[in-house]
Amino acid sequence: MASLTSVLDIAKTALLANQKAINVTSHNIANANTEGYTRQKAVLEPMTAVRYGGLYFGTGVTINSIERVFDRFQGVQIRTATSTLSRYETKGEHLSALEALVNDLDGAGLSSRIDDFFNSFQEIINNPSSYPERSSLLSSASLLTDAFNTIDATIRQNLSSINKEMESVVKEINSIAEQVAELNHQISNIEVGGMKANDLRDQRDLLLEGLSGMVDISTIESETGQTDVYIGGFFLVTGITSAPLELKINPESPVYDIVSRGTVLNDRITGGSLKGHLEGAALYDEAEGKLNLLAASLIKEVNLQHSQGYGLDGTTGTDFFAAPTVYTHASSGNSGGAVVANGAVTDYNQLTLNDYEVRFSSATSYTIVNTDTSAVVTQGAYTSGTAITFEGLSFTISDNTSAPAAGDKFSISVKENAAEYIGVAVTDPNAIAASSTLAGVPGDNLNAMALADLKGAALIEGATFNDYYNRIVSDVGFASSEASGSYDAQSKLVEELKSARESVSGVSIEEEAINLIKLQRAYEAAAKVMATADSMMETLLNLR
Amino acid sequence: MRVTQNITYNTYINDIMRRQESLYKLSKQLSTGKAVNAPSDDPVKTDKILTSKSILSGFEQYDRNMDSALDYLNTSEDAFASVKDVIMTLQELATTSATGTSDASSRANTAVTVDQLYQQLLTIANTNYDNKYAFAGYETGTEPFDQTGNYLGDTNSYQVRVNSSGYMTVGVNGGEVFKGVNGGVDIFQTVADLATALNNNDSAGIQAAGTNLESAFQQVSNAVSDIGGRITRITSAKNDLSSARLDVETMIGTLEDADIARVISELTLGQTALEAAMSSAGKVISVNIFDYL
Repeated sequence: MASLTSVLDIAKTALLANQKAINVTSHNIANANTEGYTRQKAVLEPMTAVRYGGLYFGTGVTINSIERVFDRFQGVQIRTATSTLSRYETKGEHLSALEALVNDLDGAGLSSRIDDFFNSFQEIINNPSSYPERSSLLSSASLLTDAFNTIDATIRQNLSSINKEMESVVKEINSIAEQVAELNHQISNIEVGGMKANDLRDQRDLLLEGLSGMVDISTIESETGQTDVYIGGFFLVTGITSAPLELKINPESPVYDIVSRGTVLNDRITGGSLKGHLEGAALYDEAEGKLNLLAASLIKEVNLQHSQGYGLDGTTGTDFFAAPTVYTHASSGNSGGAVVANGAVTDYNQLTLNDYEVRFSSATSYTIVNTDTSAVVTQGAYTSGTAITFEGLSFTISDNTSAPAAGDKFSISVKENAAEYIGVAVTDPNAIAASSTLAGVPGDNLNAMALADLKGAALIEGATFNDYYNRIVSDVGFASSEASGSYDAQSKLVEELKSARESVSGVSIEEEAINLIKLQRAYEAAAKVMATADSMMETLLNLR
Repeated sequence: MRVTQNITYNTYINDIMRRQESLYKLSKQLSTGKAVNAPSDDPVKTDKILTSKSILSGFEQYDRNMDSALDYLNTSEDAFASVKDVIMTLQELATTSATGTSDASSRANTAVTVDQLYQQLLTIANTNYDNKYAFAGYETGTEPFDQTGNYLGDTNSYQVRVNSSGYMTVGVNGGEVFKGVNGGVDIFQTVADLATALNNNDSAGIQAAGTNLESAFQQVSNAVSDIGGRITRITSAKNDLSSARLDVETMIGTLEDADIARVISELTLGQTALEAAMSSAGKVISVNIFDYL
């Protein structure tokens, strides 16, 4: 077989193989800056040797395959790290917004307004009968309640925009899931023939990396080359089908429930921007809860003291702040048809500011439980429409479509919406109850003193109003600095990991340029072999 | 390690971004003059700063409270100084009229003067300061003394807060000073008695009134000393407060102010590093294999 034709044949394989290899090189160069591109390598292999005259002769070269140069483990690492990174990034964004909202360092926030409010009482102590001092108290009280209202409104607005962002994230996740399922289909079709769907795999990896920025995923690649994608143990893509996520409004929570085929995944999601949004919403919710407690506590303590005093006009027993709107809510899981309404504060003295739940053990009897202490407050027999009064609160539960059923729950909270509704009830400066004795004693400032002294009293969870608010601010500060610290560290890690991957899979122009020359030389040499064989053939043919 | 163009470019981009971010933070400190611009810059300091600012706001209020108390006390002091002058004049008149040389008609003439001085005392006792009757206890809306010298106010004296731990009595009670309700001399009654004795040409009565006037003078003098004592206390409390304020202000400054010298030197360092990164990037990026092939 060691004929001249076989030399020609070998030269032909070499020409073709090097040309194909140059093709791969040029594809690499072309995609040097393509995101997610993995450099490819033509794997050259000697062709099967043939035995002739007791010797084995090579038959040339062939391209066995075109491989992606990559490290599977790096891809997984980057996806995990990306999930964590975008979780901190998103959480950090929400925290910065929250931080800006409560930032009091410029001296124009809630903290200084609380100071101003109580200072105004001291001005009244100095000059109890003077109109300007009284009217100035009303204006600083309005500034205080405005600050509460504004912060609360902004928190609510931000919570609803978190929900909007989650909508678009979930839409994107579902769209990627569909694309991955489609790519799975194409890849398995191509690879079933033994070829490698390199560029499609690049595309799929890029999509998965993008997906991991939105939610933490785990993946399993099947033997057919299809990648199954799981979120919190529930599949998003399996083979060529995808199971889109849905968002459902949860009446008990400020954020959507993320649902995959009937299962709520919120607690199973641990990374990605979706987790950041969930955490952001939880932080907003927590801050709002504290703000509500602060507002409710201010209303309670100031009203309690104010109602004991007398105004210049002889009024007494009046609320300084508008009475809190008592929040009543029938649980969305109730099977009975009763409604709860008419929540009201009946006695500030007994008010605890804790939240309560009315639990029906049967259609006729209920237990009221303090959900902050888990203590049973009272029990009673249910009569539709009769006011239920306990610990300074009153409300009514009445049959609507039907009577309540066993297991039904109703929540009662005096602080739930306190920051939203807090407002000044006193409109006439002369009605401010600075005096502790009957009307007509304009110089009596004793009740104003008692009101001013509330500033220094530890009335919420062992803290003064100011200290409690300052705690909210520094808690947000801590959370925010922690998130940004974690983000910085994580972004360095992601950079390192991406560099490591780039080091393996990235296209190096120098390398490709050198390869190009190497392959070109080999091509030239093969052509030279062909020319030599040809001239040898000619020599033979010219023999006479 | 295989270093590709993308690694080089990305490293430079990330590096330059990071340096620029730290320069931005430093220049923000420089432009605001504060090291803590957001709670997350230093949550521990934030809590201290906010607490200190609240304390400072309280101190400023105490200062205003004391200013208002001082205004009142100064007014009272002036009023009582006038009362002392009037009583001294009355004492002179009583002493002169008590001697045997003065006759019924001159005593009757003196009685007219005494009546006028009585009116003057009444005006002072009904001093209206800042739309309030100064010596009426809490009944600041009502004239505390009527024509016959009855006290219509109450026995209270108003207080103001002068520091975080307590209140100080500022109000001077007209009932005590003018009517001697706590076992003193009823000044209006004494002056009225003097006038009556003069009109009745009653030497003994005049002498008795003169003795009472002496006690009255003492009573008012004591009130003036009281007021002086309060003014002194408030003034020294104001001094204490201003040094406490300075302490808190200094503490806030230490907590939140940027160390300008340090910031500027860090800024310079950061700029140098950024320039170095950029110039190195320029050199490395401009190396191209095709220049050599």
